[in-house]
Amino acid sequence: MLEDSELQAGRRELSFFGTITASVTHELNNVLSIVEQVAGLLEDMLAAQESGYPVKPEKLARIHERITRQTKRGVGIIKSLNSFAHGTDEPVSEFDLNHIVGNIITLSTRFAELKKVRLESEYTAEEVKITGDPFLLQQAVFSGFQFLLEDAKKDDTIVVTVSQHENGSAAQVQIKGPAHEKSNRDEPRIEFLNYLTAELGGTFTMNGSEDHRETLTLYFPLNKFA
Amino acid sequence: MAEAKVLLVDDEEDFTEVLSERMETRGFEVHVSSNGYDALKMAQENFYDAVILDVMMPGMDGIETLKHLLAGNPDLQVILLTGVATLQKGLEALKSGAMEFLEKPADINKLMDLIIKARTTRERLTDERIDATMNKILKKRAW
Repeated sequence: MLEDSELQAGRRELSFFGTITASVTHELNNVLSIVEQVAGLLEDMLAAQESGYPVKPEKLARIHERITRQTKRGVGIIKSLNSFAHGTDEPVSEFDLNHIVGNIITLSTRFAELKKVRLESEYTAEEVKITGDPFLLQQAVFSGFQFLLEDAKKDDTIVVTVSQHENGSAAQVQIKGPAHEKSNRDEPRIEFLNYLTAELGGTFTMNGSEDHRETLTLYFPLNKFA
Repeated sequence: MAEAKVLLVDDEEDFTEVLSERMETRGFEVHVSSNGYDALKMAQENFYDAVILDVMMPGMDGIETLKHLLAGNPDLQVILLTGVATLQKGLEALKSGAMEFLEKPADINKLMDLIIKARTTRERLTDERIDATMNKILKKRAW
């Protein structure tokens, strides 16, 4: 029998997966809607040509440009989603922290954009190899980001920074919120962030900085099994 | 004269550019806005037969924009367009006063039919409003 806490954790993992998938499929649908309209425009132009109105080459060039742009956008979205989904393949694997955080930031951008909030990220120059659960790590970063996004206003900025600890045995992801104090403490989410980082063998701290920017720090060992 | 005057509101620039071009080819006059705030301003300054509104937009979303639009002009005919047509969103849109709720990708012929229907409804509502005002005036004056 599963414990209540295990069931809850499983449900939250599923909910996280659902939130990301819903957002990504919405964006993919936007891409396909544009391609569908561009196909319709081509059809209109062919019909006009048959009626004696020749198609202008510059119009065709514009259509080509749109299809290329939207195809690239669609491929980027699918790659991110695919990488995210493969995070569940193995409960423990070796991965680059920069890559995993970069991917979840890409998938989170749309949530920030809908609130007109800027989402910035900084990475280390070298790879930071971690042995652990990449899916849980993405869930922890996303949960921290959502926590700070709740109170963010138009034109605010959230900055996510990856860094390696000086002694080389640990790494951290710091998420710095908007330049105003957070009004809602959202205790269950703080508790959940504590749980996630503990599962990853790490710790979680939350501090308001001098400029009143709430800062969440997720601290992970490079190998929790070492 | 244009078939109808339409305001198209969506943050996807490629989408609004192509759809407006296709609608203009079919004889419609189309104005475009990339967000709810500008759409409200444009609806105050212009007279539209129909507004086509995306639900998921940065800043003010489609449902909120719809509520503001109808508060300023209750006769306005608004067609909501979205990629996430859940039953709940659809019901919320219709309860908020939307004329119709369409899922993306939307068929252009269906959209055109809805715009013509919107223009007819808008004209009927305007006529009814004029008649009601005239009746009020006539009743006040004992000619």
